[in-house]
Formats: sequence, C-alpha cells, structure tokens
Amino acid sequence: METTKTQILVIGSGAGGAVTAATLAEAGRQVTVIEEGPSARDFALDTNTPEAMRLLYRNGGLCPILGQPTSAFIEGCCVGGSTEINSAFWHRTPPDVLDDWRRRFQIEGLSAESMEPVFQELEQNLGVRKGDSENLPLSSTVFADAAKRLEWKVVEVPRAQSADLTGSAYSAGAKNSMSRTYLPRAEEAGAVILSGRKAVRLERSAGKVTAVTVERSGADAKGTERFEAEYVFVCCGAVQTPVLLRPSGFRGNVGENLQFHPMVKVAAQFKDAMDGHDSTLPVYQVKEFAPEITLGGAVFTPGFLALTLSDNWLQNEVAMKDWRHMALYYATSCGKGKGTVRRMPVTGEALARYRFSEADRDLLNKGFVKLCELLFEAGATRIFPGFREPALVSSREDALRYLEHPIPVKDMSISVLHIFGSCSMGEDRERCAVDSFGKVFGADNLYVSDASIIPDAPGVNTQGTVMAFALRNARRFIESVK
Amino acid sequence: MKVNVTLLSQIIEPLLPVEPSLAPESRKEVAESVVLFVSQQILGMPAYLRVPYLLFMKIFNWLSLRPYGRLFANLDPVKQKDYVSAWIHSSLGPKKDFIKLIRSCALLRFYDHPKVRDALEGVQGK
Repeated sequence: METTKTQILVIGSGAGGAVTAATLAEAGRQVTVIEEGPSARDFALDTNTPEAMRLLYRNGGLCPILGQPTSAFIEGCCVGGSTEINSAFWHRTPPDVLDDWRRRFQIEGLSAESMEPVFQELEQNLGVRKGDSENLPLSSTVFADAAKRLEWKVVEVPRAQSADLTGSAYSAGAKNSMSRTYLPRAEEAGAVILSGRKAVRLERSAGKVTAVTVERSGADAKGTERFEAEYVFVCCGAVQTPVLLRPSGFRGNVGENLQFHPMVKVAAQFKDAMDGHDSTLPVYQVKEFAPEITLGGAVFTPGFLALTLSDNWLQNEVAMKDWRHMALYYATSCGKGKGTVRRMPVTGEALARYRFSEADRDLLNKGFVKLCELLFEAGATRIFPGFREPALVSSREDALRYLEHPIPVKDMSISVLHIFGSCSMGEDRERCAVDSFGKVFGADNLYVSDASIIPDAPGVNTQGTVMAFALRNARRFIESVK
Repeated sequence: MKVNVTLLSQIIEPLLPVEPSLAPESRKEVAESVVLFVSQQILGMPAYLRVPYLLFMKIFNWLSLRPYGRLFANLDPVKQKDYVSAWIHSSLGPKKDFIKLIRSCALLRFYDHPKVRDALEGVQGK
C-alpha cells in the first residue's frame, strides 16, 4: 500500500478544513488536505441544479435522518464542502449564545470579545457584505415591509459573495466559497490538496493516531493508500466525523448529541407576479422570535415550488399555473431533540437518527403560524404548507387556529438546516468529545474542527461559527505545538 | 442491486404533469431526463434505504397481479395510471411513501428542466 508522510493531515476541505489548512500552512506547517469528493471548479455548474446535486452533493442530496418523521439534509461532498452549494449567508454566533456555551459546556476563553477579531478577519477575507438594495426580489421586499408593519424585527443577512452582487447565489463563482478563498491560500502557502480520497480508518497506538487509511475514488485512480501524520485534523462535518472516529476507537461522546435546525416551508400565492425565478436570493430574515424561531424567504425555481406542493399534489397541481405569483418561505427553529450518528456495519455508511421532542413540535408549529400571519400581512392570498395536513391555509384566522390545535410533528415534512453537535466542544467530559480547542479527549494528536464541535443550536446559519472555531483552534494549535 | 429503468419510467409517466404542453419529442426528452434523475437519486441513497426501496419496487410490480392478473410492467397505460393512483390514495403509509419519493424527485426535475422552464415562461411571458 502506498504511504505518504505529512506533518499535518486535514481530512475534509469544507468551512472547517479549509480554514484550518490555510491557517496552519501560512504558519509554516507542512499540510496535506484530503477530500472525499471531486473539485467543484471542474464543473461550471449552478450549484442548485440536478446535475450539481449528482456531482457535488452527498447521496445526490438525499441524506436521511431517521425519526418520526424521517427528515433529510443536504451537504456538499466536493472540494470546499457545503460552502460550494449553500447560500453563503453569513452570521456571527450571537454573543449571548457564546456566553451560554462557555458556561454550560465549560469552554475555556470563549466570549464575544475574544471572537470579535476572529469574525472580523474572516469577514474581511470572505468579502462579507450586504446585497444590492436596489435589486432585491419582490418576494423579499413585501416580506420585510409586512414585518415592519407588524413591528417585528427584520434584518438583511450579509453574504460571503463575490464582486457581482446581482446574480444568483448558486451561479458558478457567485460566492466566496472555500474553493475560491481559503483553499487557494492554503495551496499558495504550500499545502497539498488531494480530491477523491475518503478517509476510512484512523490507526492508533499509545494514545496517538499514527496513520490514516484512505480509499481513492477519483477517475484516475482506485485503491487504498495510507497517510502517516504527526497531527490529524478531522473536518468531515457533523455526520461523517463520528463515522470516521467511532470505528477507530474514539467513542467518548462521539456521535451523541446530534442536533440541527428543523425547517418547514410554505408556498405563498400573491396577486402580483413575484417572478422569483428571475430574482436574486431572498436576504431578509425575521428575528422577532429569535433565537428559537427564524422566518425567511427561500430560493425559488418552479421545481422547488413543485417540490413544496408535492405532498398534496393532486389538489395543488392547479396552483402551478400561477407559479409566477408564488414565492417560497420558511420557518426554522432551534432543534430541541437529540440524535445520534453511527457507522453501519459492512457498508460503512452513516446512520443518523433523531428524536423530535414536544418542544420541536411547539416551535415549528408556532413558526409556521407566525410565518402565515406575516405572509397574509404581506398580501398573500393563499398559503400552501409543504406538508400533508393542512393542505391549504386561506386566511390569517385560519392559520391562528393551529396555535390551539398544533399540527403533529409526524405530519410535517421537515427539512434539516445546519446539522451540528455530534462531537461537542468543552471541558465538561460528561457531555463533550473534544476540549475547548477541538482536541479529542484520549488522543494526543487528534483534533476535530467542523460543525460537529458546535455544542448546541446557535439559531443562525452555522458557517460563520464553524469557520470562527476553526480559526481560533488552529491559532491555539500553532501557539501550543511548536 | 440496479434500478429497473423501464419499470421506473412506467411508474413516472402517469405522475408527470400534462402542462405545460410540450412537443412530443421534447416531452420524450424531458421524461427521459426525469427518469435518469430519479434513478440517480435512488442509487444515491444509503444502502440501508436503497436496497429495501428497490425491493419495494419489485413488490409494487408484483402486487398488480391481484387486481389485474398481470405485472404492472405488462399493464396498458390506462391501468398503470389507475394502479399508481391507487397507491397514491392507499391508506397504507409505506405505499404512499413509495410513490411520494418518486413523485417529489420527478416533479423537481420536470419543472426545472430547461425545456419545461422555456415552455412555462412562454405561456406566461418572462
């Protein structure tokens, strides 16, 4: 078997892996990055197309989380990870959330003040900015105006976007993803980035990881190879990281505490044409009920509209005739249930499970009702929830009755946003898998730097938090490991 | 285990919307693209879901023996449509869910196919 030696091996090239690799390489360390998927830059694709789903998404976009109901999440499986396929929304971790995590999980030195320069640096490097206010989609402006009339807090979310602020967030090159920012920096500083390589096992001896077994899946080469490294950073995301760690013998709180932001979607019909297919990405979010509930506008294509209507297609098909007058919106909540990740025997695939709680139902139900309330204020004439029952909401009063008669969570079609928490960070060894700076308990040279170390729901898009923790942890590594 | 593409295309055909109206050759191209996409989605599923799902597809084919005396694959298009409709309206969750996955993937691909998008925009203006 071919063996490659490197000082630092980074497994995964998404938001955590790319920042880790660039920071360590720029500090003079010898870094090799391995990535399971192909290079997104090899394909000039809009990243929300079916072709992109096949090439760049794990499982073609259908990653299940078993439960009642079973839900699905999407994640990138390509160089740059999910930053290549997401909306590039940028949120800092809310200060009160950081304080809460420091107390509850005993995370050393974590505070809004200590993270301020970290976020500033990332935002500068990613070109984080707000959109062109002259060119916002009509579906966004009616949404924001209605929120203001209701005196609900509404914010415009900045994005890590490239110079052209007018195009689709999903066009090739439209956003400052990892393959356009931190990974080129890592390469410039000497890091080697290898795609089509999936880490399948960590070899360990005397409390250290000695080598990583890797399966090659690229078109040019198949087979198995080994990487011997002095230090290993696992940055495979909240589902794949436990799948790698657990069979390699790292099990303490690994794969426990899986969490996410559950989301329900609706299609709203308006008198005026919304023409969402011709518009930029919706950028407003209602934060009146944050951090528990966030309301916002979703990306629109006729296909996504049909998908939202599909649970009641026989009744709803006729609504497709008015597709130009429709727009898609979501309500997302802080997940209150808990899940686990395990590795399936034989196939080695991830098995993610989640138990929804009563609190999940209450939050999603409240979010759904508040979203309907807002959309009727915005001028919606009818709302089609993206689940089996109810099939249609015709008025604000119609929506409000679901506050008294909540929709059972099993009847909702729930999508998963921002999955995290399966290797929580902190000094509380009863609950955490890695220390305050990502070092795995029980291993001298193994670190985790991805969404799995986020210990609880932040209530905002997690890319900023993942990158900030990765930068903070890499800096700590540079200081402590000479 | 492979996807029976012929069977899948027979399941998908009655699920595809009639509108927007497309020229026959365009509709054929769109339908083929939909079948390809759905089969890729099924093959992309983790094995612990994919294998049972493909077995269920075989069961779907066999269970038409009871009402019609023939496999679904050998039914005429009208009876195929009735049979698919019966599964959509079944009181059994697994039957509904089987069709739901195929239909949701099919609708996504159908309405985002460039030829369907062009036809939709042609009907209502861009």
